[in-house]
Amino acid sequence: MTYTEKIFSFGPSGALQGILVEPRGRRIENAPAVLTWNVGLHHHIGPHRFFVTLTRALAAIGFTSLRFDISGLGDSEVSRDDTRPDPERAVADVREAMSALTKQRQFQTFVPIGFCSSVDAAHAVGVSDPRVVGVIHLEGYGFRTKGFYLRYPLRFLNRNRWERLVRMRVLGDWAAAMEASQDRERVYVRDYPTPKKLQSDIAALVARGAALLLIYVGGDTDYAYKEQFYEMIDERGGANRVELDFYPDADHTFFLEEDRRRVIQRIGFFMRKYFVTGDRRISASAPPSSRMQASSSPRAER
Amino acid sequence: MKPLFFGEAERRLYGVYHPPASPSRHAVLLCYPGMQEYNAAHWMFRRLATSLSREGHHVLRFDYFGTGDSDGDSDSTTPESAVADVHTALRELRDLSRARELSLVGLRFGAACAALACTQFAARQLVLWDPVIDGAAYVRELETLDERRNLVLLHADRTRGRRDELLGFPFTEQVRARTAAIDLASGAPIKAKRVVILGSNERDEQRQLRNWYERSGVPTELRTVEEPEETAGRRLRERPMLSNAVLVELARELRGSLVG
Repeated sequence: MTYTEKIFSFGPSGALQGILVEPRGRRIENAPAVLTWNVGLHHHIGPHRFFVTLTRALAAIGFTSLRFDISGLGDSEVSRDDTRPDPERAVADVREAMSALTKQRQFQTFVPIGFCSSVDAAHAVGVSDPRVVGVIHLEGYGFRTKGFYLRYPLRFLNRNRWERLVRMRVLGDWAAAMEASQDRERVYVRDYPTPKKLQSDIAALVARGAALLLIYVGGDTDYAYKEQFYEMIDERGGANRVELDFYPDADHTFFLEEDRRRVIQRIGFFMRKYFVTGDRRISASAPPSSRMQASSSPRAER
Repeated sequence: MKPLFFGEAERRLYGVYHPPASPSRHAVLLCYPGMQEYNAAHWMFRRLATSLSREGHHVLRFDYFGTGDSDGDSDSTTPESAVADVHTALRELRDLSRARELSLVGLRFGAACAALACTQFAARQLVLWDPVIDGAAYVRELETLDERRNLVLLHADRTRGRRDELLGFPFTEQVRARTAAIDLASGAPIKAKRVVILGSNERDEQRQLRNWYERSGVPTELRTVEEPEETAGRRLRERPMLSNAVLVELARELRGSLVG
């Protein structure tokens, strides 16, 4: 195995629980530690065990990660006296995780990975905490733009949409219709920044030297083309140290293994590009994992 | 609540041990459903474990090899490997608790694994919660859900004719064949002292299983728990916050094991 995993308890009275995933044998000196936590109400392993596969793959190329549960979710406990709102508590827990990794493992810098609703805490911590040197958003903030609406009719060229429509509306597949309707109902209360605020937050992160990776998907989302993000934040020329990928065929939680593998590969490239340079060197000479060696993913629009 | 890794060095399993609120000689092993239903069940299992430990049981819930935080890739879990993991977890729970008697509670695929483990293990009580009795029917059910999910997520063209994934996880031919081969109602006799089959509705296959266990000399009770309207009829993966009804019934059922 290319990794070791240990129970990692931290926070007040050790109430927060996670799994510390460390490279076995080869690690990158002075590299940031990667942090992942709950997506919605999911346990810390993530949808389809995504964070387990991801953190083990990152360990194979030399990065340490902590996948953990925020207070009151998964295997972490929450004090009855803790009356803070969930978003505030999540941000505090991510900061607590960073401090614990500094204390117990001497990490000084961090890369939080937000996925859907957990992007809120990843973004908040990234903007406000100088220990964060990189932020990854998977299916983060999306705002409909003029370009989105112009491309909207193109959806009707998608054969899968017609197949779904016919099954649900013409053939009366009520189970599928109900499932689609339940998907639409699953909306978490989230506090989106305005596009202007998002633009200034990203500018502040980049000015601080942090790198960003933003991955969006097509499907039934508010995102329709790769450059939509730049239109959202009115930054047409792109932004330095901001990497953007759009996977039009993938869905919001990367249901298919091929899509998860593609995202994991992409995160590996990003981590190596920004955090295996200069004084950050690999301390042993084992070959990198084949999972991370493959070149660019064929279906991504870059 | 104490998280831990246990088992062999190259095949470590992740579990969470819940010590009893008061000294106890009885322990309960909780067996999660299959990985396709794991995330939906995790919260229920934590609530159940907390509730049982407050009642005075030692409790261990754990991830099979290839699931959750345990070692292994997601394509490496077979019914046989999961049953072997149940035995490993029973040994760990006995070491942790020093309990004289152990009971098992399993949900869906986990109930099948618990029942199969009890062909070799004399549990004080075996609670089968919506058990998978006929593996082939279980696979068909998940495949129907998978096909629908792919339709809803606009993946119909990418998945048509493919059978290598099931509800977001790899599903090899070998795992499919072994899962489909599960047949609790005509398998080996079990050694549990008592069995309770718990479900939201009574089905023929549950009655057949009860009859089979009764014929083998194991007292078996079939129990129906009515769920409130908001969760009734919803499949497991669609009801992450199950009602209290089943949890209360499970706690009541196991209370008898604390005495005597």
